[in-house]
Amino acid sequence: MLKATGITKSFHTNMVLHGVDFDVLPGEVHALIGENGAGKSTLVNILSGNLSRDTGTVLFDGQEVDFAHPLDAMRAGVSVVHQELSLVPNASVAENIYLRREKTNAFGLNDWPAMFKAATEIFQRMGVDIDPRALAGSLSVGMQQLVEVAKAIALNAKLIFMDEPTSSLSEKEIQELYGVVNDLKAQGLSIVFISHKLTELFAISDRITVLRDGKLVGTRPTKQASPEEIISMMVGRHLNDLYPPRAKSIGEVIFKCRDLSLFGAVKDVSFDLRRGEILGIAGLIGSGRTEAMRALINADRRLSGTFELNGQAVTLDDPADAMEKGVIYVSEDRKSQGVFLDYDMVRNIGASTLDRQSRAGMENRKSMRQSALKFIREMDIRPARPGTRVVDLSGGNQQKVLLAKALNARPKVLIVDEPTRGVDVGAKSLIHKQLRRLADEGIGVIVVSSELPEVLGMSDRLLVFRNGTVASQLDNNDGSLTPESVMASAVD
Amino acid sequence: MMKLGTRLAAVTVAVSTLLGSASYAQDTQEHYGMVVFLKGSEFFNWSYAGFQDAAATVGATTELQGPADWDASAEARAVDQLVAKGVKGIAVTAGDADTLAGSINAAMAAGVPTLTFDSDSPNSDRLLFVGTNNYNAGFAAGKAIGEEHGDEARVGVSLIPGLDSITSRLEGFKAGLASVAPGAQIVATVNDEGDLQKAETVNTAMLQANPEINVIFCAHGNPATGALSATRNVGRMEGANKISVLAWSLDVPILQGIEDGEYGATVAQNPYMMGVMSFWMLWSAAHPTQFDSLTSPGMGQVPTADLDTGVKILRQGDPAVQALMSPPKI
Amino acid sequence: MKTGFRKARLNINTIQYVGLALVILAIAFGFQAAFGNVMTTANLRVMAMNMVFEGIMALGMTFVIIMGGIDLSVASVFAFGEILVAKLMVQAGLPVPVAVVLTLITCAGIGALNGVMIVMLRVHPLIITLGTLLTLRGINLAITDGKSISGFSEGFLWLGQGRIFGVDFPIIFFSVTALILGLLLAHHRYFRQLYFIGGSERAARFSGVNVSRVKISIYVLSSTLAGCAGIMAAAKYGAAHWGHGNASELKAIASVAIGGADIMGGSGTIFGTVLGVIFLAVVHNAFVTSAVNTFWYDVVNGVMLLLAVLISRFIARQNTQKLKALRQSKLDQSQHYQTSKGGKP
Repeated sequence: MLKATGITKSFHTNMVLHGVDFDVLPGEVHALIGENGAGKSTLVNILSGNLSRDTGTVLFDGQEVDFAHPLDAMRAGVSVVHQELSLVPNASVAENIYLRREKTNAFGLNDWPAMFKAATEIFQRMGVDIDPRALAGSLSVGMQQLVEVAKAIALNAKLIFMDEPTSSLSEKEIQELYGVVNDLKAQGLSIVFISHKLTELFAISDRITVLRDGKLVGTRPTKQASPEEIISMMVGRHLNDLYPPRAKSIGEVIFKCRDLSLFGAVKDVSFDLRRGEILGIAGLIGSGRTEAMRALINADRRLSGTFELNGQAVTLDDPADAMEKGVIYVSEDRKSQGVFLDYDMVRNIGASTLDRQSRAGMENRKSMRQSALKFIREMDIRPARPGTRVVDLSGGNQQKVLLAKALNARPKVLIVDEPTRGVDVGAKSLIHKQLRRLADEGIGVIVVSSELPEVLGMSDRLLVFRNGTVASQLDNNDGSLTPESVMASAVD
Repeated sequence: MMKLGTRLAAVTVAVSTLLGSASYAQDTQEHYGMVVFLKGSEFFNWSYAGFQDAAATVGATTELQGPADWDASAEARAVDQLVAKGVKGIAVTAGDADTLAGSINAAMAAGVPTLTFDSDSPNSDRLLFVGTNNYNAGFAAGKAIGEEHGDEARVGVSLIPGLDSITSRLEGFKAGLASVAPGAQIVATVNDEGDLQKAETVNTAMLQANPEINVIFCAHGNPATGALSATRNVGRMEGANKISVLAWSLDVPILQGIEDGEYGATVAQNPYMMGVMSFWMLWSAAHPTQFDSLTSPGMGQVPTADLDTGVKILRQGDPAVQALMSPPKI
Repeated sequence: MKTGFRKARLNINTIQYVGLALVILAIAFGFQAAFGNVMTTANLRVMAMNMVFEGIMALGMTFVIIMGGIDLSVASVFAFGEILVAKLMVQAGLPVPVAVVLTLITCAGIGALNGVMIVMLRVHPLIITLGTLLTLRGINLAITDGKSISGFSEGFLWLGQGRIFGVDFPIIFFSVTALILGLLLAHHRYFRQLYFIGGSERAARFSGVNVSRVKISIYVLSSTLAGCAGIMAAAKYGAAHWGHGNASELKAIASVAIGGADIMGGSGTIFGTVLGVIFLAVVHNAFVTSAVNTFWYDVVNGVMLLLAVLISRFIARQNTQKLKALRQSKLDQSQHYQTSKGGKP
């Protein structure tokens, strides 16, 4: 059905796909799996005409193709059901299915009965019962997902990519979706199922392809593969010894979190943080790790949660309150939630301490500049001119500014989310050293990261999140923890 | 949602009923409307106060309609609306003469006496115009300057050329000045474009080029503050060589300037009187006697000429200044 | 899964329309009962003429808002239309049809300019059309020296004052245009695309909608309608003046929002907008009828607008809340899983 050979893709200087081969047979369900950032989405985007490839060939139905636009791919018979739904809530189901291919009557107006009828036929083919007249917005998420599939079928798709289709479905709806997938497979359609839920892939797929770091690790027939094998294919890389040494001594509990819940995302998370240790938080995207940290400082209104800081109960009413009490969260989303791009480093680093460093309500530029200079030296931020606007810094240096801003607020507990995302190796190692130094100085450090080697390399203890809860707590003070054991807790 | 809708409806009905009971009296009373632009401005508040006060003496009621900006089309719509409502008469100040003509004509055709005040719509079928006669007002101003400065008066004029009203004022001013001080001269005129900053620039230039000027006559409301700044710029705001600025405004800051002796004088129109006379003209038109109006058969008698409400030249210490500085409540 | 979904849920819009219609009727009959003079032909006519030009602009605004845009420039395009058609006839001496057509083409051009700038510069339409609003207002003032232009032919005046079966031409124009545009918006594939663009521009693009072209064409539509309104207004008042229609863009937007359209795009109908226009007309009329200080009129308008926005936000919030509730129930389920299995290592 589809045969892709030697696909490469770079964004700027960053190579995200290294000559990947991938093929799909007619009437097959092919699972595509890999860690966050392994290149799954990029590959799908290239095969569906959403991105262009740098090199490589794609054969579809025996023809060499190069889709310039998702439309070309759709016309040829390749459709994508995206993870985020793209239905228009205020239009009917049938209209959503037939957008841009509306059936019209003699006056050029939409022929609704014909569209409803055709949509009904498609739903019959899929074996589901959805009213094509209903507004898409009135359907449950699972139903909407099925409408997306119907949309692909209406396009006479021969190959459908489903990008994490089950991520917001209930168990019942997932079973329903499996039924539809099997029906379609029986009708000769091919489906590529992207997911990182192992149980799911073993339940539905014929073959499994694993990507890692933009490279093809291998393709296995599902019947001959074991979950352990797939996990080791996903993570199998060596931890390098770039990471700083672990805690010399671990002291008393400095921060306690109990029963932290966020509606619809996090449930009953409890953990302790001890003096001198770095606590790592791992988990796949959507597992609730970031949501939990945001709920901790009440950036998103939590349902429940009690905290103790150095033995004292604290409330952490909102991010400002948390900051005042010494619990500081450094966002994963640097550009929109972290730094003020258009301001210089002095302002950015001083932003968290305006109260402390202002005189009679006026910015005390001199004292702010002093502390900025101190951090620029300590963290080796370049260029070392405090007046440089942050937008003009490299990603690594921006991240250092973000960290400096947090440190300037004198934290007792520092939570860093994806501290090295989009950061070069040198800066990365420097940031790691800084975090370790802070832990040694007695500040509680929590490192949240989707990079498994990073959490493993940095943390003395590890919380693994899955489905909004702590799936397991793993001790890593001797650095003996393997990626396999972490991944086993992280996936269903 | 449904609940919200029902609640809204209930509230509306309740409010309507309340308003309804409050308005019983209106059925037996005569009701008159005034339509202005820049609703809420002090000047028209004075007019409406006069309109209201006059109406109260015969037990009639009034209402004020119109936009809070310069949109004359909104005034036209307000006139239409008052006609549909069935008022006994309408006084309107025309934000734009042409725009209002249609609505005024329609009102007259529907038998609702309609007149213009302060700003006229001369091509319409209005009963008459009630307001300041520009020539007369200019004459009064010129005479006052002539009496104060005599033949020594050397006058600079700040104006916008090409506007009929301002041209008439200037004609009147010249005649009034000549009537008491034939030796007085108008030395220069400048175009301030109706803009404060521009007024300061051109007046300063005028004073530098013509040091003999001892009076600045502002022929409309806008430039007075600019002209005063110009005298400061050439160092002649105070002292023996002080230039006397004659303003054409009732604004509180200008009146305060009169009290403080900054301005020589101001030409005060009488917006309150415009309101009073507007009402009486409408009332008269709405109550025909044995002889109908000469111009509008079926309506009562009103003057066939425009009605001049006159001006007063206000100087420091005039008790009217204090009175005008506390605008009416409406 | 096989149950329940045949039953279409009561459309939230329908409820909003019924509510709004009830409020309109309540006001109209309430004031009729209290003061009389509301349900007279003369008053209904005045009431309609009072909002008809804003109403015509609101029709175009509906299209713009559905696709997630906004067009503030209509007020000055309206006045520009007045002035241009007046200048072409009175000063250039062109015959009425030629002047009207030229004016409409120019107004369409302004809309195209709006659209192209919005598409090319990727700046929020609020800023672009605000720029057009101010620029064009300045131009209007400059080319007329702040004075009005009048002296139109009888034939032209008919466009604003003429009546067909006793109904003023602008009202007929508004009704027919509303009907046609309403039909097209509800049933024509080209205009259905607006809902997709407003719902999710990215998704629309992926589905093959030529977003740029549609956007530009809709700003052209909006400007052209504003031009139509301007031409008829010049004929109605017998004069063209830069101050006419000041702040009418806000009334047009308010009509659309009160009519139930989400100001963030993706929803709205012509029917709703017509109800919104009628609502504003009735409220304004109620103020005149009751002779309550009309300064309060703007307050009521503003409050209604806020209320409309509040309602649409409320609906949006409910939708996200539903989604979260679903995830929460999943969370509760998986919790059971884990405990029943005794937890993983």
